Amino acid sequence: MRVEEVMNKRIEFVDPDLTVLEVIEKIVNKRIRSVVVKPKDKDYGVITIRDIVYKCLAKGIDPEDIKAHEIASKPLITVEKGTSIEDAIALVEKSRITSVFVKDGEKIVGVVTLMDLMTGYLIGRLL
Amino acid sequence: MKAEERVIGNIEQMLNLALSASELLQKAVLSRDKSLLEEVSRLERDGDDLRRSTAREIYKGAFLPYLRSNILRLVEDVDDILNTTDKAGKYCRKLEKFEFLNLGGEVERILELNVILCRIISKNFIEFFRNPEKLSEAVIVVRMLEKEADDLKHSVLESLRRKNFDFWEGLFTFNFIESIEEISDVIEDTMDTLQVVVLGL
Repeated sequence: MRVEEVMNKRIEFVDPDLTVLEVIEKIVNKRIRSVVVKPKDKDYGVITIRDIVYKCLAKGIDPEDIKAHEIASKPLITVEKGTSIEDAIALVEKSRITSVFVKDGEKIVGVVTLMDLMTGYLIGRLL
Repeated sequence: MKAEERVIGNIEQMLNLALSASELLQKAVLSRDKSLLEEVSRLERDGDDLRRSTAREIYKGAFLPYLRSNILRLVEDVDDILNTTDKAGKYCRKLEKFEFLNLGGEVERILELNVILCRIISKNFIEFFRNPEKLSEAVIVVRMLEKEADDLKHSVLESLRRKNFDFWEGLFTFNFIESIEEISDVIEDTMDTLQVVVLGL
């Protein structure tokens, strides 16, 4: 089973100069867990709820006073869409991350979370 | 061949029909080829024949009396997968536009989930009787995938709310989305019934 078979194709991209409050609004409205931050210089970044809590709220920073690119985690950790579930699991374990983005060439086409990987692994055992 | 083996064989055939029907529905929607949906209806009728002949075998005495009601319920659940797939196909035939295909792949994913669910149950059906632990594992996977289909349905309906439809197109689109999600519901029910049957054996 490959990551493209379990990935979520709904990815939200945000501008790097958006405030963190606007990012929170997007995450809440779209019921998603992370957003991809478009490159300000060259690298894409990612903001998860964990980034918002640890890098902004826990430090007492007002989410209206800080930009998305300032708390985004970089570089984006990605796998090719044909990567096996087992290889993706090894990558998230090694990198200590909870989701990994899926690329088709240079384009980001999806995201897989730990839950998706677990589901994919179990489906693979049955098919 | 024993009556019990014929019953199990018939249910396996019905599950294979359900898999073919879900694959055809997926193909028909993705290619917008409504002609394929005639075949889904034919598969549903074949399923009805198998359901009737299986019920006759049970009536004639296949399985011990205390098992018969649950076996018959399993047959009806599997038949329901085919009926619901056919119902979705019938709503699809009434659609003029396929507005839901421009929503970021959510409807496509529900259709894919239905195919995966049918494949899991049809491919492992006989194995589930030999290895109940595998069945327990499959029940968990089916529940996870059903929940995903349910979440996707609500997300699709929320997105469709913002679009303008004429009444009938909107009604058939809503019914179609409800029906394709219902397929995963019925498969989950089938797995629950199958667990009861395997436990009884």
